Amino acid sequence: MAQIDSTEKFQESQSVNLHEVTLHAAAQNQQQRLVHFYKTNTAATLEDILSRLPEINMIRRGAYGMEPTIRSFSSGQINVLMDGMRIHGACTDKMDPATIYIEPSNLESVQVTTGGKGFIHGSSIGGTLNMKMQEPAITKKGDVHGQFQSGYQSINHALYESLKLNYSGNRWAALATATYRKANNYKDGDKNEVAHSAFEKINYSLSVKHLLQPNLSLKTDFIGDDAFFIGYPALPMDVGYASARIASVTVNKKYERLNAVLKEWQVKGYYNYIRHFMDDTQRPNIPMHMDMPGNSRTMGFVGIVQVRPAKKHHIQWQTDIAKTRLYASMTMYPPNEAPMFMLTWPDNSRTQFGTGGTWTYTANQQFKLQLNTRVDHILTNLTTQEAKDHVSIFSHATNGTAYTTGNISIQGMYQFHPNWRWNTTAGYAERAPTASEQYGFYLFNSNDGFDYIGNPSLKKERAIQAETNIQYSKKQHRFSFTAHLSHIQDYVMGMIDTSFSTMTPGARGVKRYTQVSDATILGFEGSSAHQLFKHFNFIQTIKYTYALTLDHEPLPGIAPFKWITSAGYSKKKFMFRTEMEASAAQKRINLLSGEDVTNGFVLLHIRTGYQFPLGQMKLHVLAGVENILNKFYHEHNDWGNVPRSGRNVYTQLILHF
Amino acid sequence: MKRHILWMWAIVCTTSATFLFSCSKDDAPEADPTSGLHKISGGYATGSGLTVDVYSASPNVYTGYQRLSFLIKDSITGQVITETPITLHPMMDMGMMQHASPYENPAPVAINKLFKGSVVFIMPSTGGTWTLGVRVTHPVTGNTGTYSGTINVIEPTESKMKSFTSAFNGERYFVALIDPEQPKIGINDFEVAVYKRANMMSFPADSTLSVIHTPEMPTMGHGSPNNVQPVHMGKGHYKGKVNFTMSGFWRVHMDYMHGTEVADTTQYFDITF
Repeated sequence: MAQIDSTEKFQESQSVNLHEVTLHAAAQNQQQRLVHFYKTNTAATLEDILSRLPEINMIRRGAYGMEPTIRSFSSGQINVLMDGMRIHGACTDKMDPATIYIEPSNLESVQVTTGGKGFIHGSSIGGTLNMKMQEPAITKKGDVHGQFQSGYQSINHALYESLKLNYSGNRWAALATATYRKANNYKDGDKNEVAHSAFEKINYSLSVKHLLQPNLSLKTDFIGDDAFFIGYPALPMDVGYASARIASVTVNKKYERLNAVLKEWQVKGYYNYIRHFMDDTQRPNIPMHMDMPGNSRTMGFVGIVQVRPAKKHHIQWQTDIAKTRLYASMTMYPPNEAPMFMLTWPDNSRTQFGTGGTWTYTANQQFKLQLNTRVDHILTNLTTQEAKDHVSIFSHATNGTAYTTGNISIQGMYQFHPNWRWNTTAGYAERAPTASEQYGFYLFNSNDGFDYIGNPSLKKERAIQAETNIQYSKKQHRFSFTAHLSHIQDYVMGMIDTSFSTMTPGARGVKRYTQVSDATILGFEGSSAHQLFKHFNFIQTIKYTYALTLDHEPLPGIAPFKWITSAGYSKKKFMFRTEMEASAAQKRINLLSGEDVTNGFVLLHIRTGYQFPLGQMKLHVLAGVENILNKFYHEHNDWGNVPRSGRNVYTQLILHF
Repeated sequence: MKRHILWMWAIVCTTSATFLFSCSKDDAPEADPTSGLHKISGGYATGSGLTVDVYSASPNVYTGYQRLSFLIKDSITGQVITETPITLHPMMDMGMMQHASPYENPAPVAINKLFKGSVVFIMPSTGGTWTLGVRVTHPVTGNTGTYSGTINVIEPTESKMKSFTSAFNGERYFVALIDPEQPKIGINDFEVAVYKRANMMSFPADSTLSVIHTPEMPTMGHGSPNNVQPVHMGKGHYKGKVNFTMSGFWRVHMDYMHGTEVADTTQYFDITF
């Protein structure tokens, strides 16, 4: 994966010019261009940007904290990494996917690698979402630059303040960011307030990079994130407080000699600590108060080398180890009675050791062959007697589990015409069940209304996958289309078990994680970008997934066909763009998972921006209207069918200095 | 080099110190068999030449099944007796009337100098006076005597002693909850002892009933999975498993059957932890 010079990137910053974006993305693929396009154009959260990528769909439980899925593969089936680091949410109800801890202002890029080649960083069957953090820019001594952003949204009276500062010394630089978001309850398309949708959080980061030698750098990163309140309208509880502390140290060495065998190596050590407290004190008519704290600690090491043993061969190899410890409990306080306590994640620890990489053989200018492989050994243990006592109620397997997973795929790239490129991947992938799937103890899923019980005896989930992609690119026109197919065996799913009685008041029953023999997920995604008459641009993406079990039952959580298109005009400092977001209805639903039919919808947005020079500085004013038609709608993967925002006017000031 | 030698010395010294210390532990004086137990009664068993001390694991004696330990000594030499038959005679004096209660005599051989038996106190001392008679025989002289002492029996906050009149045969049954003694989240041993009242002075163990237990959290309206129904293991003791999925207030409903006929379904044990 080509690295872009961070200095250049930083200065380029929040451009609205598609041409410029394309320029900087020269070595990137279509996906990176899209990330950049949406990143440069909105006051967006990371979730907004992700939701527009063709490979990604979001599961929504609240106004914040959406969970990304890659081609309908969700949390346990994909890796969500930050600069290659593993981060495990501390919430048993998946209210805190790792993406919640990243702000676009500290994001350099998002890399989505799908199925057959997305396991290099950890065995998975659905792919990897890696968020690459911005690095400090080492320019010249005393150089200070940065950016201040301030934004407002009308629909929930949301404030967004963000400051970014980069200071460069002679051989070192520091980058600091701080972001504050506060939002009240938003209104839906029928102008009704959506209760419990407010949130407030801050995010801050510091990254310091030293050049020990011209090509040897030492980088220390820290990200802190504190959410003081995050409302989850689709859940019976909100998040009262959540915090993340994410720290890493990275040493990187590059070898620039053209014929060098060793091109680059990197070693990273990291630690992160996530705490998450669910809270129902804001909710009316609570029969009894409930506390649900959880925490997650992950420590790991990642080593990467890039080797070019011969002119036509390139190898990137990664070896990593990570240990994650999880704990979550629930205490209910009935009036005049003893508190009721249980572990919802009985204390457990998972050690994952893996090694994998890609070997690329460039036969000639037209033809490239790539082999991807990865092996993991995953050990999971219950770490306390109390945890084992919990699990013993539903399983004899309390002495831990060990899985060895192997993944392999082969990819061929054929440039059969100067403008056309064809790319095909076939592979086999495996993943181990997650801690929740193994040891979850009455985890309430408010989408289907069932309590979930883990199953330590689950087998590996395995998939045979293929995808083919065709790309066209000629100066102002780009086009990409991908079709993919995954056939999954031992697909992990919750199945109703009537021998259990529900724990959560009002739950419909208890589901136990088990495996259905076969599931198939197939679909396509496409995107195109055109630059017309110099100043007009036209971008669109489509995505569709079709999924079913062996019994021809639709799989749950599958987003319907979606089409996002954007037509814009930009000239010098002015930008104007209209966007249309269209989603088909989803009638292929899984009734046992509590799904219902979701109607289709069409949304229109307008975005505009203008840049003023202010001496050495630049002031960038952005404004727009989202959901102009004030459509009342929700997406298929929105839990509880909670309606999304109605018409929203936003403004944003960005000062570059 | 000098530093290395210093380090090695440090390691050698620490290791040998640890070794010495752990060795000396083995020579510790013999532990008192009654340590950790509470003496609830004791005195001379008239005519036997023996003293009897009665110990319980808790400082208070509660209504229900009580495990008791007996320390028997020669009253002159103070020598601890480890082999002798012992019989128990619990008695409740309510003024107008008297009644006994179920009990289990200790085995004639002591375990770590203590004889282990049990008494099921079927009511608290608020209604009268409990006395426990312990009849012992001197293993050398063959002299026999009885020590009798009062015992103050307290009703616990959650009763572990239930009784019912069987709908099947009209007999009176007494059921004592033995386990879980220290309930926890997870799988718990479940043990009850069932006795039938033959007359006011005789409460033999009963093995004719079958016992079905159903744990429930009344506040939440849920139960728990994978419980193991108690089965008779001898001497009226029924053993099974009860699973608690969370801490708090549990009610274990008890159904007693006589074959296919219902003996009683109204009783339950409340367990809060």
